[in-house]
Amino acid sequence: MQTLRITAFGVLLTLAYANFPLQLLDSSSVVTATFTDSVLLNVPPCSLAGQKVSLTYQNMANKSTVTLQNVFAVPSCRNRRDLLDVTQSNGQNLGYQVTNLVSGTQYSFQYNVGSNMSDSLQASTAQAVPYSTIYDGLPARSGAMVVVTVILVILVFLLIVGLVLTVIYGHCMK
Amino acid sequence: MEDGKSTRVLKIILIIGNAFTAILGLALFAVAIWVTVDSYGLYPLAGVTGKDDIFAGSWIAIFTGFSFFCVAVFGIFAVIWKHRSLMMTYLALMLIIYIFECASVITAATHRDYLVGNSNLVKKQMLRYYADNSDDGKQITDTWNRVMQEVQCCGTDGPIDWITYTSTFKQNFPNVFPWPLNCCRRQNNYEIADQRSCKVGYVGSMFAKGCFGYIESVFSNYTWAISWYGFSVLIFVFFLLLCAMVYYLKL
Repeated sequence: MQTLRITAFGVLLTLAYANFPLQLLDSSSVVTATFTDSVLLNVPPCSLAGQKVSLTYQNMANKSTVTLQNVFAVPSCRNRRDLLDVTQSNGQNLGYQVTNLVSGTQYSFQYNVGSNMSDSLQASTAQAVPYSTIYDGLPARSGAMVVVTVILVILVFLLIVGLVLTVIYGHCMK
Repeated sequence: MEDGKSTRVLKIILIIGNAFTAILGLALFAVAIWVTVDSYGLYPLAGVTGKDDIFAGSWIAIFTGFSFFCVAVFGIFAVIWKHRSLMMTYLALMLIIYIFECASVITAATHRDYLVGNSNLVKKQMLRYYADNSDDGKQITDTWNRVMQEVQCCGTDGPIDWITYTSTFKQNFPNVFPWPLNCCRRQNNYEIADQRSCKVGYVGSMFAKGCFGYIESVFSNYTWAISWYGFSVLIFVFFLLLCAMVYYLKL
């Protein structure tokens, strides 16, 4: 019995200081999580509701680090009744947008909520490719076009030959 | 001169065949008018690139469709009157119309491949001309704005096109919005439902599917109307003309 109590306490203790996961928002809720100048991160789990969150991110190219203190409070867990409230405010509770980033650069992100830290997340901002690089030449001829062209060319040839022969034989028979 | 049995059969075939050709020609005329009118309003997408010969094909098909009707009616009379020179005139006219109709069919099919074989051309045009301050830009912008709202779509393959590539839109309006405002869902009074969620890319506040599927289906419908229907008319007329040549030789 006593052993069991100690084990339970030990497990709870671990959970209290565990790293919570940090991910980019997935494509089920947003179109993309990585823009050219910002990324969308998920919010810390609602078990830490109400606490202020600090974000630290590092530019992996030039190793510069930025820390944003107390940027937002962890939103509370939505209970069943709140799920019916599908209003635009859902968008705000989805995640956090980190702005003023450099395009095409890898960053490392980490949340800090009181004594809890998130896992470190490596993510890159998007790099916009010039649209002039898109090749817009003929992709391929479709089967329809080839069939139609080949058959019609043959038929026109046969008709012209037929008409010439008709004129010649018609003239001869007269 | 007494008609032989085979000549009589040929005469009946030719009369019925020409009557059917007249109907087919009228239907081609009607369908070609439908394509030329462009009720879906997507002509600017073809016109700006210069690959607009689906519509050139439809213009030709208007004339050839009506011409098939007229010459087929003329052919019925030429067959009934058993007049040699009228039959020769009929054959010559039909051949000329046949060649023009072939041109219409082939050019419509080929230009469809250029335009919507894959999404690259439409995408590049959208990125280049949307929000461009030129005549072409205005046409493309108006067309895309209407399509995005009517079809409830954004971008060519999706809104991600606006992120993956540079564009005239981003050049002219940097750091304002990642994609055009018409990608956002609007209420019935045309107000944007939730501008902040749309800016972030929340799928409930904006249109997440691409417009290329719709654009491709419209141009394909136009092309099948001109090219496949025209092709089927030409196959029928080919056999009719072979019969007409045999009939001419028997006259």
